[in-house]
Amino acid sequence: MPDLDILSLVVFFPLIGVLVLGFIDKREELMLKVVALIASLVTFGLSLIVYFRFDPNAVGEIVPGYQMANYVKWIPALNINYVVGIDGISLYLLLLTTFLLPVCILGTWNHIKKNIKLYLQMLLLVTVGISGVFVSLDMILFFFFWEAMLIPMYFLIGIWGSANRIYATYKFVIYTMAGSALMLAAMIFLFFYSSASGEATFVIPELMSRFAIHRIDPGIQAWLFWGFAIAFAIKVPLFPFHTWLPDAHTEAPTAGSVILAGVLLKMGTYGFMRFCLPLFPDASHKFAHVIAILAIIGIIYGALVAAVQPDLKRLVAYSSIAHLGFVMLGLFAFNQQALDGAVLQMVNHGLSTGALFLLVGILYDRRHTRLISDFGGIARSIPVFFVVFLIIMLASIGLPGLNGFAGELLILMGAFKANAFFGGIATTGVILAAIYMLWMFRRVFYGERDKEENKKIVDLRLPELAALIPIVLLCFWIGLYATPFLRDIGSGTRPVVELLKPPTHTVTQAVSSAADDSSIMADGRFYEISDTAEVAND
Amino acid sequence: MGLSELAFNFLTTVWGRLQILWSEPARQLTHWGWEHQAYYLLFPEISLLVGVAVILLVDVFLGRKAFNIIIWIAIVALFSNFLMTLHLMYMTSRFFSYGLGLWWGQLETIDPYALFFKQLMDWGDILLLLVLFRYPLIKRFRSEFIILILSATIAFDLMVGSSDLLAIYVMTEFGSIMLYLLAAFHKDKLKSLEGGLKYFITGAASSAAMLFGISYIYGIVGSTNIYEIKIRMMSIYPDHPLVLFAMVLIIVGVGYKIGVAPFHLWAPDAYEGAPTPATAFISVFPKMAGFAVLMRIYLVAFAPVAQVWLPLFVIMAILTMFVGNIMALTQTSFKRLMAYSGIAQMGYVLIGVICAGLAGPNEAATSNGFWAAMYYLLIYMFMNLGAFIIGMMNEVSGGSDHLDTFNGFHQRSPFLSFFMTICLLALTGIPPTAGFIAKFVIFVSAVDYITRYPAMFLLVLMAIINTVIAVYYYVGIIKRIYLLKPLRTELARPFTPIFFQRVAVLVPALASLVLGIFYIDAPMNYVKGAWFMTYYTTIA
Repeated sequence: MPDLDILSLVVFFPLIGVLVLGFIDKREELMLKVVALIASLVTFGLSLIVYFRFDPNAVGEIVPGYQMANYVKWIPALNINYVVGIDGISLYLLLLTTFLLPVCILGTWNHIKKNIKLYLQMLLLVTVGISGVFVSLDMILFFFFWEAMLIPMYFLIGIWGSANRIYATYKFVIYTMAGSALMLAAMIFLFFYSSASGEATFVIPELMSRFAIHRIDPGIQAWLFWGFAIAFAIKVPLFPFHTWLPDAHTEAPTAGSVILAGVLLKMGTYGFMRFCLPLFPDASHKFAHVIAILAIIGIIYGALVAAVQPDLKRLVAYSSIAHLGFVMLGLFAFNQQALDGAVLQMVNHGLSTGALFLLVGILYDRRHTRLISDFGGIARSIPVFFVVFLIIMLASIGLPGLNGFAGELLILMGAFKANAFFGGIATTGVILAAIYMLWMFRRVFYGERDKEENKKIVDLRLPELAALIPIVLLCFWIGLYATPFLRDIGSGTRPVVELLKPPTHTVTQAVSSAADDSSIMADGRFYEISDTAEVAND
Repeated sequence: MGLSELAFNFLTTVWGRLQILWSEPARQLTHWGWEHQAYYLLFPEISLLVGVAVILLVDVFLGRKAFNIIIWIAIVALFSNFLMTLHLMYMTSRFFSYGLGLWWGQLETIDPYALFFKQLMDWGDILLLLVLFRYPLIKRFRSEFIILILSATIAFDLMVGSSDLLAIYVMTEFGSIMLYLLAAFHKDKLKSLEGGLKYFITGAASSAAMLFGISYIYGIVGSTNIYEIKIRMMSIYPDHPLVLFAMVLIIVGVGYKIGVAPFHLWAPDAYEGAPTPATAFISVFPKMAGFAVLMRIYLVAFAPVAQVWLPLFVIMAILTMFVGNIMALTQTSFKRLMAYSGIAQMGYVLIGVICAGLAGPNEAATSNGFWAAMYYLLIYMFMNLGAFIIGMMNEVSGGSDHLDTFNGFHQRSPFLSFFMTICLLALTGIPPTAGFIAKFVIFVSAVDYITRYPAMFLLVLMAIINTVIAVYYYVGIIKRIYLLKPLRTELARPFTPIFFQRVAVLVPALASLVLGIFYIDAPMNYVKGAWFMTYYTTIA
């Protein structure tokens, strides 16, 4: 019997909640909600233990570089293992996942009317899948959770969504499946490829350390890179693969949207960080421009389309595309600031956009409409809601002092360092974000309160407030004092940055070509190459 | 001493006592077995035959009312078959290193490979029979239905163990005739007759082609024994057109039984016309037996000339996956949909066979393809049978097999809906179901060859595209079950399956869930070990 580690406990604890819910009668709605809430709070509490035990300077015993790891044989016939562990990259994503679960349950306390038992079970199950993705260190285990998460999400959108839900949920599942099937083939190929240097393995840290020494042939890297990248790009979503997102986000129930925007999209960016960058550094350098351009298109396009949306939820959905564009840009800048910023921005986006979806969902629950034109002047009717919405919206725009600013600033700094041109264009995205958000805010909250229904909107209820206040506090905390966060995140991104440095043979080529330049030699810093992307393109 | 330790000690003690009790009869049986080995090894089939005979007698003397008794007799016969195969499995693993060799004029072989398929068919048959306790078959011929199923099982049992092309041919025919009868079982219904007739005519033609092919093989190498052919094939000139011709003809015969494109045309009609339990039977067992035979012929006897038949198989695999999946997209009948999806599923198994063929006779023992195909068939049996059994109950409670009767199925029976979802997810290949692991091992076997044979990349890509196409219609059924409203109000009336039906649903559905998370290794290791004894059996 293998030891039960804290991470597995965090991942699988919601399953106990699902089981307990199964034994409660369908009609006892309060009981169901309370049990689900307790299960989610315990899960969050367990993940807080992970947080307090996490030490950014620790080396990691069972799996080097990863803490609180566990390594159990799962399918020896294929050398597939149950390997979990956590580092600075996944720590906050795991925390975010477990944090958003009670937020979802509390925030939509009275919103769901039909079959609430199944609804809560699906919410818990989807959390199992997503937190599993963030802690698994074996490729097949990763894939296992990655796909298993689809089923509850399919039901969440399909059963409790709004009018066009079946189309949206279908599109979501088929898009994801299409990408992930390709990824599975790439994973298996990587497995066989790793047999060149030792026993073939699916364990990610093992692969990373092997391929750091024996680089994969650049031609093969390119194929594998795209095999993984398409799956992740669909999930992020990167520009041409984004079409599922507005549908799924808009049609999903509030909690579904919160989870989709809050953590599900991060699975894509996390995948880039975990697989594409460290395993295929040459290919990453080679295609950095492609991805960066797509990311910038996403930023500008997402912002422009968001600006003209008549539907509040669709607006927030398109703003997600823009925000995730920033994260992708940060990832493919390949330097410490940008990567730190990208991870921080993943968390920020999860908090602020998750909260925005929750707020829009609350508004929909009161008014049964999401059209911006149906509102106007509601600031006077719901003052508390107004304040919370204002803070969250400003966080989403990236106002200094709130969390969005910290992440975006780091990303843009890193992007400028890597490529000033891209950085410059991306900066316009910040302005555009302010434009569409503030415009929407003006139309919804200010102006004439000419509709009768808008005068009678109920303000935030207690459970909703309980869900939103922690988010607001976190927004301020990250915005004002991000250092502890960045310290933990940096411990995870540093090895990735290290791996992304150009391979030794490229360096020696660069050195030999620059050998006659005595100033570099005299400087003694000839091995330091500031713009890594350009070297790889040579 | 902990509680678990106490319990363990207690259990081992009880087990030891039982061993002593059992040892004397077992010793005597084994002693008798050594003296009459040829009969002893036939015990699995003999038990089924005795079952058939008893059922015939019971049918005569007790009449129609005895249907439940008849089912029980059949289950007992199948269970004793199961125990005997288990025993033989034990013998092949413990006392012999090469299987139990060739028997009865070298027509049949007892090796773990054959026993694996025999045992699977027992499990599947028992599950299917459990549903029949309350299924509206034609009253007058109910017992014949059981007899046909048992006889077909005998045929398939002998078919999977055949080590001679002639035995393969005879047993295939034996089994096929039972299937024709099963397909045309609803003799008052025109569709059933039509399906049965189509099945029969095309089946007869394909059998003729196969026999013709066998005659050519005999002409080329001068033997019909699989293991003889294997040796002699090594010294022939493989590019001779006659070799290709013979291969193609045999593929026509065997490919027809397993329903791969372009020999699949009978499947939808036969499936739709046959009574649903018969459809479930046709959708699983002939395919498994057919693949067992196909792999034995092509991966043992024709392994030395793999370069001749591999291109054909690659084309067949791609065609099968695409035809099956694309045709399934537009079906409105559950049985027709399962017919096409079953065709598509066989395409994945063919990929495994191709990989085993690519490995060649010398490397085959370490190749993944062979056991991946076997593992896929194992999981396929559970998931497809589970889906069919639930489809059967939907048909009983909903009135027809039209897909619309699945709308709002969860209101009628949440229990069945849940397990139907698991089976369908397994068929799609989404974790955490066994279907994912099965597809995964197929992919593993194929990706292994990408660097050596670039054409395999194409095959893998096609398989990937097809998994995505299949999502559409499998998840479409799940959509109907949970997301749509029932067509008519009476379709929302609760339906409670009886105990045996619950068992028949639970076993395959839970198997296709649990085998995806735990116990993945044990069947894998078994099928991995099967190859050696299949390939290296020598003629006594």
